[in-house]
Amino acid sequence: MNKAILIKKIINEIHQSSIEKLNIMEVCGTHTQAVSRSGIRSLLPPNLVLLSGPGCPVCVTDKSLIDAAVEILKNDIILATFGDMVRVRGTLESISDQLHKRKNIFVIYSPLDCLELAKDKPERQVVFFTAGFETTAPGIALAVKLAHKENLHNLSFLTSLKLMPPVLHSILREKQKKIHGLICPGHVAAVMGAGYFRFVAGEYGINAAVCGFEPLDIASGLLFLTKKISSSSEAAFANLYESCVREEGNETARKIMMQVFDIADGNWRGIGEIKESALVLNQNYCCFDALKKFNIRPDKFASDQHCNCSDVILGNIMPYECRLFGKACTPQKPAGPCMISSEGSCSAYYRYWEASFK
Amino acid sequence: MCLAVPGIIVSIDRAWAQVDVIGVLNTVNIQLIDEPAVGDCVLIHAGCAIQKISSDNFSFLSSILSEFLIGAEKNE
Amino acid sequence: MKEQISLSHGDGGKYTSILINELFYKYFGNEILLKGGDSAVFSIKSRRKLAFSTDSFVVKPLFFPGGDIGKLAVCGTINDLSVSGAKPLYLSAGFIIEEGFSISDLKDIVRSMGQICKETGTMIIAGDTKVVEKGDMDGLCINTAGIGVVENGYMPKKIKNGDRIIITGSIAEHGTAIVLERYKIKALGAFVSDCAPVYNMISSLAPFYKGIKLMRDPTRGGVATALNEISASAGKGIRIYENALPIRNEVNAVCSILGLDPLYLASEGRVILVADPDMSQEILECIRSCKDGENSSIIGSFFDNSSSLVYMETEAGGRRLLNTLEFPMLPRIC
Repeated sequence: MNKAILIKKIINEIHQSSIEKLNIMEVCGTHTQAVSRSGIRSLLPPNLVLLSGPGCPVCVTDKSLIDAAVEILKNDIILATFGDMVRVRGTLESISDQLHKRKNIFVIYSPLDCLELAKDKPERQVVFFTAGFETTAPGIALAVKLAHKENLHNLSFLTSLKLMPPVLHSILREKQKKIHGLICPGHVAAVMGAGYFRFVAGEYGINAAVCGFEPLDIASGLLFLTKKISSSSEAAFANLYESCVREEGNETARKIMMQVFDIADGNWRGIGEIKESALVLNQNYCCFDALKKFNIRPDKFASDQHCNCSDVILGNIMPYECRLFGKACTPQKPAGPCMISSEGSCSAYYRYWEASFK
Repeated sequence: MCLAVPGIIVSIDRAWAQVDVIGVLNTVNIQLIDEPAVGDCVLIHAGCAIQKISSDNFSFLSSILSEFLIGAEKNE
Repeated sequence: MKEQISLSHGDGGKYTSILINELFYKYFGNEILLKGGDSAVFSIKSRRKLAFSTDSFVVKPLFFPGGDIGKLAVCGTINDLSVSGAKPLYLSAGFIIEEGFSISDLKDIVRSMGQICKETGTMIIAGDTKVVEKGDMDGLCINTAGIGVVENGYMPKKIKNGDRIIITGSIAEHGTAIVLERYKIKALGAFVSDCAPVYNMISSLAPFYKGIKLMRDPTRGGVATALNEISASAGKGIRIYENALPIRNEVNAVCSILGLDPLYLASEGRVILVADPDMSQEILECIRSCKDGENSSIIGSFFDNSSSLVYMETEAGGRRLLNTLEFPMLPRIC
């Protein structure tokens, strides 16, 4: 059957649900983007509310780390970073604000590109600044290992790497949130395994599905959750992305990740500290830690816990319910990271949202 | 938080592979997956293959969906 | 001649003359330019309307598959004149060059500008060169301005509900070629900028001018941004169809690898036309018979909406808003 026809059937079936309210959290920012970009958001019935989740690594990177990157740039270094990181502001400035000062800033596509930069300019210090979750961490770990193997001591890493389960525990523990279902990040699960998210159903009794990112994947996930929520039997968990996600995930990638990183407490922008929620360089690789190399203590910068975005990424409000959305906060003059990051919920809603049709 | 695309390994040179992504040959690191081989379909994120893809998710989903859509024709 | 641009090339003295004679006059040479006065003096024989346009170019990288900053600068102004229904006649070219710039690179750029002029029958008849100290700018900036004569009575007309939107070829080709060069993405495939003059295609549409209401080239900001501009000036909503957009698979592949949206990547050899619905099919067929027009497509239409909404009906059957590009797109991993 043609995919578009199948999606239409799925959406029709979702519309048949008689449940008054279905609150489903799309954990991952890439899912939020995909839902909007595919137009699926415009097809959903009013009783199905898609809540944004904390799965936007740029949005949850503590301001102090961005401030640290800006501070490090005061040295005559080369900064390599992903495009996602460039526009988000720390306390005052972003990486893109440094461009007019003719600082050496390179947007790269792969963490391994920073190795080439370091080899190309052995006389210069190169700092790779990035955020990510479990999907990206193995690639960064590989870059660190290779830097070590190839003695690239002019290269260092400034990272904000976070783990999904601790922040989900933190959200799901607050039962009054009334989340009925979770769309789990398919590519995190590709690395960590489908079993990584089983606790959502097992411990919290919330229906959950690991989903891919194509329109059909997302529609199928929504249908599965709608049906299971409506059935009011025991909470169900399904891996709907079996082509990419095994129960046990990718052991090779995880091994490399844990050879380089330790688990530590993490600071989440707008949320605060969450125990054992971050990955930091372990003692074998701490010589590649940019904070140590440049002697910067991120807590020297004020850490602001009053970001407006936290209510959005915790699923407390919809982006358009934020009083700043579309008025004082737009992609051109963003007030917070959720509007700056291309997969921040507010950015996805602003760029793709069809409220104007209503 | 994870843009990733599927591709097919066309050739391998130690830690790197040429991977065909919808007709575009992309250079991808293959050190994060186990025993990569020419012909394997892999998931690529930030220039690294992060998992092997076993099949087309469409065929897998069709069987799951048939359970939920049996009654669908009645509702049309 | 020296190998690198120095400040003396911009001071109006001996080295400026050498640069002008050995580069600009050599590759742009025409009788008006070679008169060498402070102004180019020329006459236009008809009393028809004139079109005039200017643009500045700072593209990085300077050289890309299918062209360079020079070709972009000349085609850019030629195309701005062409979409106004004018035959481009004369151009000026101003260069601001960073000290230390390779003269060999400058020669290649100037040569390619001269080549486009020859192909299109336009002439660069005035120019200027300035050199700034190393570090005060990045490489090279070119400004072109151009004048043309409006032909065949073309004039923009009031847009009505139901008017069709046509794109003359596959989109995002230039933007994709640039991104691959800029980020040194090791991807092999057919990636060439579509940078080209569009005058011939537009003039072949002369028999249909009465049914063509507007023409625009979707350069910086891509098709989506151009549609927003058109929607705002027409005071009407635009609806386009994802299924109708001509995007090559290879362009889609690169965009999905890098997390970019082809709707916001530049085209430099394409035109968006607004056409009367009764003539749109004939216009489409005419474009398809032109060089580079084979992938032309009717992609959408106008509807009544005072807040200038632009949206797309997606392949999944839903709707997606298309805003103007607010800031430059960067490759992303999330």
